[in-house]
Amino acid sequence: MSQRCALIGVALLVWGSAAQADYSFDNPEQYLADAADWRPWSDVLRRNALDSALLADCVANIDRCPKRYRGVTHLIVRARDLALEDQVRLVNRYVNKRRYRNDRTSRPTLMEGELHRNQWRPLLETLSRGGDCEDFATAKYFLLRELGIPADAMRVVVLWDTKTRDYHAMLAIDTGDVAWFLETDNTIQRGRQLRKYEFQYSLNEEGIWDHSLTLQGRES
Amino acid sequence: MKKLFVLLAGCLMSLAVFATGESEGVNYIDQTSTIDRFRELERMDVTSERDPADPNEIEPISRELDDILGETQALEDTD
Repeated sequence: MSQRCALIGVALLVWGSAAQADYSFDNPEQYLADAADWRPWSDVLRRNALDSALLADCVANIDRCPKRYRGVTHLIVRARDLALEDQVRLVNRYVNKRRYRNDRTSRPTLMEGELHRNQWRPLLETLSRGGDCEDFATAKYFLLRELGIPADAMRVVVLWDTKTRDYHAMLAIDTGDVAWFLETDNTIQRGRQLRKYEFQYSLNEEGIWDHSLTLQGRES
Repeated sequence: MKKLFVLLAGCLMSLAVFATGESEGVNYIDQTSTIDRFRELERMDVTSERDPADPNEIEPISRELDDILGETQALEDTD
């Protein structure tokens, strides 16, 4: 009897150690490359720098700002002094109001002789045209950067949803405790809510992190 | 009782094997080129559907945040 109990205990312990851990911002062993090294991502960072300069001009003088950007400019001005958690909640709601456009049917784009399936978009393009999960996650990242949140406190995370068997993207925020994941349905996922996901890779302006080494039996 | 200790020791050894496996895994990145890994990332079609959330899971926001969203929306509607 004691042997059976021990075997069950061992099995539970091994299973527990293999389960997906919480997302960590402190994972230098998963660092893959500098953000500038992956062309699709570095390209959107470069394009968004133009959006950021335009928004800075709008914040400095909203009367000279193009009408279509006055809404987001107003939000930036009003939200800059809010607490971090309120900034995150506000930006999550604001971006999630954009039109959700699934780009599965869109054809991959050719960039330097390579086919790229996911075309990352800068902030103002997503705000005007809408997009899908990776566009929403990226727009939240860029907008929170406008509010002064440092790059190293956020990552756009690509995940594998083990239930729907789809790749998904959310913005992860380092709150100092458990990471917050901003979902496209206005929820903020944390801890156990993330168990159905397997982290694939993460991006911000500083780098790219590869989580594939911690995958458990994913079928790609 | 001895058997129990033996089993627990075995369990600890299994965990050590797991840990070793992870540290060896870092070499995987070193051995395969970063560019090849980029190509693998690129093949991931990140396109999930958006389903409505359970209303109970959506945290309410403060009146102040609601006001900011309303003001922003009003400006965008006049565009």
